[in-house]
Amino acid sequence: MEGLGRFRVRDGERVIVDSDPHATPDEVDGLLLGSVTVALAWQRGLLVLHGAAVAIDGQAVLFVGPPGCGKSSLAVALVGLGHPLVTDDVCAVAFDPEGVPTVQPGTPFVRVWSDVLPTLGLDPGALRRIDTRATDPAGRQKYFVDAAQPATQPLPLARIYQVLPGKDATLSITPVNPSLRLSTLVSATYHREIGDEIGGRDAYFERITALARTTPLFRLRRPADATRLREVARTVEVDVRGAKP
Amino acid sequence: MISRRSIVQARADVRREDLGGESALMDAAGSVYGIDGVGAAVWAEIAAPAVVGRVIRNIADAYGVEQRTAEPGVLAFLAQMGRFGLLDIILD
Repeated sequence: MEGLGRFRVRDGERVIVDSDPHATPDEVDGLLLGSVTVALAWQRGLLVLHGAAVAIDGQAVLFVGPPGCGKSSLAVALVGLGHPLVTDDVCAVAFDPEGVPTVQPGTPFVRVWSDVLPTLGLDPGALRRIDTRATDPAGRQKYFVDAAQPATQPLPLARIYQVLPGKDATLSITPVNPSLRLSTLVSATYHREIGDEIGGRDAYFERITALARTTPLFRLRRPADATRLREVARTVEVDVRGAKP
Repeated sequence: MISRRSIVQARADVRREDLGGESALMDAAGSVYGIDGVGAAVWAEIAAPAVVGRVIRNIADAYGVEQRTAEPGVLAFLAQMGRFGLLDIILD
């Protein structure tokens, strides 16, 4: 990794770090929590997606979408409503013997951009800032937000939301058919090249299609107005609970 | 240019998985495609070399529509699959 050092991930068990003396601790942490964790999860035979997940009534609800779409801040908002965090950024999915996808608990914190903190009622002064050399064009900073009661057990994956950045005042949730779910899930795959290298393309194809076949996926169009985040979180909560038999 | 007279066949190295009536395809390079129910029905028609006119007739029959209604959609789908390199055009 250019300017950061060398990282070796072995057998899904061990990570050897030889960091560059010029790399900051947060930069090394960022890599350990990102690409290194992703490689580790693929080595463990998991399907690795890029997204944030929370537990609503004991079932995992996953948010995927392009960077900056608001998946992590939505997860924080749902945590604020009392739902345990399952993971942020790296979402590792296993399939139980019946083929039911389960989400593995990940980091007990979420990394969010500074501009959404006021909406979430969070004081940046009370949070740890992530030191990055790479500056955001908009001059924003990222902060760690700890989850009060993170999930500690794998949870069945109930549904997935593809979070779409807001264009106007619209807040809408629409179901997506399996062939379109598939392209969303392929886009959300985290370092697919590592998974293909480790488990092979065919194994990836079987698992990603199994997920598209079995797991409901919805397009969540969030309003452009970021201050409506809590309302979005409440809408998701109602949507998930309304789907219960 | 694929027409009713063309003969096409799904490439043997394209993998298919069922998506509950729809289908997933993966080519030899690892690119993944999702196709809807009608696309999946067309794909099933071209597992062996097939005259496109016959594919259109079978799809029209299966969906209970006129052939001229089914034709543009089937031709557009096959042209797109051809551009993606997912089928062999045996006879243009």
